Amino acid sequence: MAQDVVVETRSLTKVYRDFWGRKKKTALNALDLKIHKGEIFGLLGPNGSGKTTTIKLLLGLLFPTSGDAFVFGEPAAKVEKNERIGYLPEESYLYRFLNAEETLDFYGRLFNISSETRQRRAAELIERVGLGADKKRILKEYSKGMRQRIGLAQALINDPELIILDEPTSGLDPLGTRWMKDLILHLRKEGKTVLMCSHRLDDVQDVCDRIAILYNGDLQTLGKVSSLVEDAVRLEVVAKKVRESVELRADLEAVFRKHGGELETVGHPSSTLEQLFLRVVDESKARPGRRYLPPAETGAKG
Amino acid sequence: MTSALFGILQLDRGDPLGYSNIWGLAQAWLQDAGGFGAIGLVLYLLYALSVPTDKSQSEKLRVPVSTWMVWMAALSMICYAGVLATILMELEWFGSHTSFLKMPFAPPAVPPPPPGTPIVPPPPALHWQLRPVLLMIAGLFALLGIGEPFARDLVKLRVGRIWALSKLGFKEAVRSRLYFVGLLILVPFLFRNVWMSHIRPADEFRNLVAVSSFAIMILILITALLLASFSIPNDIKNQTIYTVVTKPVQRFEVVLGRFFGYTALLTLALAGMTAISLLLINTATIDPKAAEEAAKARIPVRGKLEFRSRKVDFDGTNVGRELLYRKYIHGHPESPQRGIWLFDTIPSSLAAEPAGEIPVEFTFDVFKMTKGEENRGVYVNLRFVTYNCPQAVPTKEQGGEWPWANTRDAKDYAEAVRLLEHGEVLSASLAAPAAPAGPTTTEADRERLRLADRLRGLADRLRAVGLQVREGEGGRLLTDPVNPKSPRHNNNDVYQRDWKAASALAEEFGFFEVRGKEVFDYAVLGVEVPSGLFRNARSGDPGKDEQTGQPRPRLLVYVKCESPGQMLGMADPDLYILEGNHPFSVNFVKGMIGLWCRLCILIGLAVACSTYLSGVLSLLVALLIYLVGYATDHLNDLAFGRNVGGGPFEAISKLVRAEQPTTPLADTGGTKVLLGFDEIFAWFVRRIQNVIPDVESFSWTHFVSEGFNINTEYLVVNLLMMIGYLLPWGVLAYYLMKSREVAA
Repeated sequence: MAQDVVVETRSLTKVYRDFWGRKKKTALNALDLKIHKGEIFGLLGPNGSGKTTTIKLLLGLLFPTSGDAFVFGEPAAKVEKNERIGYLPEESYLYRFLNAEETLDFYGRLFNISSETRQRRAAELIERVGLGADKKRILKEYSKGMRQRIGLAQALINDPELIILDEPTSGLDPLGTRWMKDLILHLRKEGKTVLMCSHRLDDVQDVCDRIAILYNGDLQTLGKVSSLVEDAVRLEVVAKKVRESVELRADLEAVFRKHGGELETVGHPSSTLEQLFLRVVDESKARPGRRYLPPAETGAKG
Repeated sequence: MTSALFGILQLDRGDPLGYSNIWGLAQAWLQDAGGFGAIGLVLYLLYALSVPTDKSQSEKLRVPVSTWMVWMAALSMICYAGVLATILMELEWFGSHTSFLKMPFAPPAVPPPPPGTPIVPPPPALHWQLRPVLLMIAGLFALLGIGEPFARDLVKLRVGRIWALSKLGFKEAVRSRLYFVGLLILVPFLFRNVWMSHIRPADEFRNLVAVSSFAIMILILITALLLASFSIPNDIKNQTIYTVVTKPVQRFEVVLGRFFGYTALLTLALAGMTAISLLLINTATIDPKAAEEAAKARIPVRGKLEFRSRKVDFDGTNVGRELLYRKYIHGHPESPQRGIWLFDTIPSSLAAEPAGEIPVEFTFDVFKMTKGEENRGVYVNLRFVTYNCPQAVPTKEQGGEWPWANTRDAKDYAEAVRLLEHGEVLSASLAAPAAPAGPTTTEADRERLRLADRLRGLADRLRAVGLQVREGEGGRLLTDPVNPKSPRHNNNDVYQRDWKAASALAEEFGFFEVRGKEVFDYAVLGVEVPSGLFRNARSGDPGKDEQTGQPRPRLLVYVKCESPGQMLGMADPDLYILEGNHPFSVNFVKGMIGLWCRLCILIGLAVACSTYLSGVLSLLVALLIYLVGYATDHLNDLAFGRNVGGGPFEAISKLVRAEQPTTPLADTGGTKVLLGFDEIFAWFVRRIQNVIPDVESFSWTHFVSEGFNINTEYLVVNLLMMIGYLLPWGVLAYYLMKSREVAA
């Protein structure tokens, strides 16, 4: 196995069976995959496509029916490999009777981290995930977003080299989503490898270097995000300080015809709803007391 | 004389196990646990063989098979084949019972007790016959094989992680305010009037102890069962286990963490409840005499009971009581029947004081053949003799009194008593100087000199116990007249003198007798025995019995019933020498150690079951196994086909035919088939017996409530038995947890 391959699966197959051993469903079928050090890898697919099964097989929560999975060159069933892995499950399944500090202390102990390091790292992570003010509250009282944040903190308590995130933005508001995506990108800068699976394609597109799309347990597509989403037969031109007009359209048609092409559309680009939301929140933070007034109150017509 | 309200301790399951049983227990454990280990090992290897040889590395890690395991399995199977061979050779067409080494195949079978009598299983002992040894070795190999992956993974366990997981279980229970359960212990005491109102004053203390122990047991065990059964299944159901097993945590650490966490929590709860109970018991208003007699922990020295009479095969009389726990001797002045307690060891503390009063307590069952005198008991003689003063079975002409085997000693004793009653130790005639030694010295002279020497020795003993011995004219030795045969307990100077003389006599001759002691039905009574007797018993080496080759007992207590027409029933624990008393509170805490062992067993069982079963099923299975542990006597009946009406198939057959359970079956082919099925059923029950914990052997409430000290030895054996029981369950939990897909 190459030095920089962090995760590798070889014909990895998982068949769920009933009590009598009869086949119920093939959740994953002969998956071959390699994830390299330092990359952010996304697993995409609809519900039941085998994303979470793949993650559970890599973590040893499930055992393969056939094939094999390796993490850091070690078989997935080997417990010792978990020393270098951080895992955030989809629903942040944590002990709700513990508070944030106790939670991180508990998971830190499982890594046999010394008391001093454990305390320092826990304090850093609590600040990093923005739960400094709520660290003494038990998790039962946390919102879903807060639980996701403390879940991520526990995944990072051992300063892992590989971070496995199952639906990391699930249940997060757009601000939380942005924060999570920034954090994932930051992890890449720190040289970490990230494997994430998500339904939210925009999240994956924003942060992932490579993706694999699974459907019904089979690998459908695998490659770099940029290559996969690039439309090689179309060209996009963005210009400033011009307004759409018949003359402009005619001129542009002439230019594209000259180069053997054909103009399809001319129009003003729109930002995404996420961008609008973030802009409004940023402006609200910059100008406290700002609020939206309906047109009638301002006296504006139409 | 002492009289006690308490002290009726019925040990119908035999004596508690002590250090002398440890090797026997170890052998039985290797056989039983090893048998299950062998089944597990064979199944494991068959499963590993069924997986293709090109299996994935993950699978190889999950189900590792080493050469060691295969070798151990092979060796184990060879030994089991040897066991099978010994069984086959014992069948009719071989008819052999010894191996080529002349070693018997199996220990002699213990004859079953008569129907209706409880089975007292023989205490575990090490057997060196071929079959038990082979079974032990086979079990050892199987355990070494199946335990190899377990042992290899044990090295990887980290205390820090187990501690973290234990603390988690502890914290979870505390945060769910489980400690309120502990306060429920107050409930029985709040309603004390309800359950104490109809109790005799003499039973108040006993009931108070029994009820509080029972309340603690129920509260602790139910809590333990609920916590331990649902912990791991809830972790899996809530998927919290995902974030634990994806850390570098060995699966078995999760099991250990849960076990230790709940054990620690409930140990604290048990300690708290014990403290509250002790406080409430010690401050409760109780009949003062009952409290004085029972709020202590007697340290009894127990002997073995034998029955002897003129008939060699006399083994006590069965009076037809439903429970054949006690056996009886006939009462009559001319009756040679005796119940004899044999004491092999005498603690040094009994012989520490020169003329101490050592209590001997007893409880007899008086079975009246005639009405007797109203409000009077029966009269009993108690004869205490050491190995230096053997007694002989009387001939018909001698009547009912057992004579001394050594007639010279008997004469010496009689002379010494006669002289002491007259204020002499050595008479003038005995003290007269001897004729010059030579051929003219007569046998009578030699005998007189020997007796004089012995009485001078007695004089030294009298001085040692503090009696004045003066020298008189003509070499006489004088003292104040005493009555050494029956000192009257009236606490004055005369009694003190009499007692000291009795002690010196007992030390010299190894004999002391209490005659005409009045005893009542099931009343605990006592007599005092001079410590001089125990000094005599402890001195020298008793040697071995010429007939049996066994070491002779140091002390024997002969009990005779004098009242004509009455019978006196007795069992092993009914008579004991009271070595001392310990504080009641310490004994109560010791009793709780027995409960703590049961607590550990229940938590271990429930946690082990929960590694594979759902919470509800774990609870039911653990509860069932535990509760069946209270019915081991019935299980014994089933296992050995001793229950009235036969096994299940025979019973169904009789039900269908509307026959009485006691009706014998007709000798037909169908009956043989039915009985065959019952045999198979009994075989299964015998196997199941090995899974059932002997819960009763951890129960000490009767010791505490009856005021008897629980020996530390018993508790150490309890702890070893608990570990021995939990260890195979631990190995099973290890394999179940390791092979479980927690996310499936």
